[in-house]
Amino acid sequence: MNETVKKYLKVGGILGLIAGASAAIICTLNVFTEPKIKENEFNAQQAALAKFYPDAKKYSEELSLKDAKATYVLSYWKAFDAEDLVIGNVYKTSGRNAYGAITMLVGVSKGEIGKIVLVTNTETYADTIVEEYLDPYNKGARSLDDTKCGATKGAELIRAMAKEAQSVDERLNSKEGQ
Amino acid sequence: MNATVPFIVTFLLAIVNATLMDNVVLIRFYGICSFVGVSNKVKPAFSMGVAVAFVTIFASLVCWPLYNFVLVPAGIPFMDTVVYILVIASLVQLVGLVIKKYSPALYKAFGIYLPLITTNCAVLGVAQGNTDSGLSFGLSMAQAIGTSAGFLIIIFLMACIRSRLDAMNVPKAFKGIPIALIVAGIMSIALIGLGGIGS
Amino acid sequence: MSDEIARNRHKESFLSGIIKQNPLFVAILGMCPALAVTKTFEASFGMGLLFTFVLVCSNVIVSLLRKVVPEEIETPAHIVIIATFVTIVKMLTNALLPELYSSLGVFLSLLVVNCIVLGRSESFAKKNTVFDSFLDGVGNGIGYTLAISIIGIIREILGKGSLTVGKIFTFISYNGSPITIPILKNSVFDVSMGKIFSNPAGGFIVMGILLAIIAAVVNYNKAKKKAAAKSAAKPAPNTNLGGAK
Repeated sequence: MNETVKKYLKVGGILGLIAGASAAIICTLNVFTEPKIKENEFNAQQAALAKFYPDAKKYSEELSLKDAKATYVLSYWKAFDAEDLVIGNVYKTSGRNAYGAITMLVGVSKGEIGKIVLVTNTETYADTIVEEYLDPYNKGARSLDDTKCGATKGAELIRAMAKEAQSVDERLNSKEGQ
Repeated sequence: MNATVPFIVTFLLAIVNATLMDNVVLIRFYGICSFVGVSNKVKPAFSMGVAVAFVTIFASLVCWPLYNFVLVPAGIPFMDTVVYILVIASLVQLVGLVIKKYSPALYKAFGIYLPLITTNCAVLGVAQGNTDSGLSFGLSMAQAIGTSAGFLIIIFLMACIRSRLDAMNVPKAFKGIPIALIVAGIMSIALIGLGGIGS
Repeated sequence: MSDEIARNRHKESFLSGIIKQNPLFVAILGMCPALAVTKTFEASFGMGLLFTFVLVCSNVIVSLLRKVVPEEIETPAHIVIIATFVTIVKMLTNALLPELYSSLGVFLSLLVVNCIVLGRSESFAKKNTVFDSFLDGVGNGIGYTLAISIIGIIREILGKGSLTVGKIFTFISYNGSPITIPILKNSVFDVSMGKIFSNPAGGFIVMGILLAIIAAVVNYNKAKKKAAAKSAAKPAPNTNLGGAK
């Protein structure tokens, strides 16, 4: 065997060994951290849900949505009060524009759009949306249609997502009413 | 996503956004080290910008399919950072070899910057950001193109400004990097002002 | 005698990274996270801690393997080692401190290409013993954490008018909510309305001014030393007492 080939084999072998060891360590660790990460996500979701209806006693499991017209709404939860009556629904919606992606929860109760809580927003002006648009909206100081806030495209996306959740809610209720 | 807007419009808007409103250096803070280190002369700054642009676009071109067609099906999406940095390091080597073979003059111009590109956050940052936020392939390419253009423009402008600053009577303590950072801050304010465009 | 030399070397590798060769303020490396995550004190301090962890671990492993890894693949091998530790840190933070994970975002992954981590393994760890590399990592880590926390404190006070503790490190709390100390709030010095300092621009400006202040101090010290050397030139020069520089 030629000397250079031998050398390349040795060098490649060592690099491969280091990479293999690194992959093994990471995979082992992943076994331990993955359940914890899932649990954290679940807890965060429950905490976010609890913000919507203070008098709700419990929430349903995450229900998947079968609605052909929905482009943003992914799934929803039902909120029940002490007598097991539905107070309202919380919809998980996700949308994207040229600036990034927004995932958020929208509460819809009796056909009205209630609170909106952002889960993730990768847009550059994410802070502006929260400070200038969502916080005032949630406090009742700003109408949902007033989207000119310095991050208008994002606000418009949020409005479109909330409106869609409202119409999905209407269709769901009419289906259940039949 | 939105059915009423044709994809090409979203694509172009995403490029403009990544270039200006979401500029890599001044808003997202990627690649500050090479930005500060190489921007004192116009020509090297431009070469560096072109080299980074090239590697960024190619890295995103390779990393996106690698993540979505190899790492995710194999069940090891958490290995992404390790894989990306290996891809980038080998890409940089490859680019160096190709340039050396076909254009020695070009290699002479930016050969010394090639190792610096591996440690430029912009390259890894774009590849990682694209898959972290689950962009589609088209939009992640828009992100890569816009980011590269933004880096090139800003490092070139900065080099022009800094070559003039050398002739100015700057207070001694501010000479060099401090004044460059403050200039960058002022440029950043200008870009923040662009945030309303497209709204 | 050799014991003392070794001890001095240990001390030197530990201390030089903290002030004299501070990676951020003196060597001006690792700027990206220092500007990007320093909006608040807590995020910057957390970044510093994670940075220290990655730096110490990678320094130790690189130093352990320094005789095994051939020269041709040094850089790729180091990058793989660093990337491994960054991934480990990413997983652990995501599991144990999810608030920190989400506030650092992609900059946690970008520790892989942090010039300081790679620079320390290339310039120090691959040539020195494991213990020295460990000390070097701890020293540089402390130096970086200090520097980045200073920037974080300044930017948070200027940008928000107050300092909040407990939002990310949730185990620190007062009656179950984060502690907020209003420092400039409602005073004439409250500049948080302008929003400049919580914007990216503020990072550049604060960093530029800090570096200028450091340069001014260094220049002043140099001038003082020069003057002292001039006046001391006539009597016997006692250079040994005045520090290394």
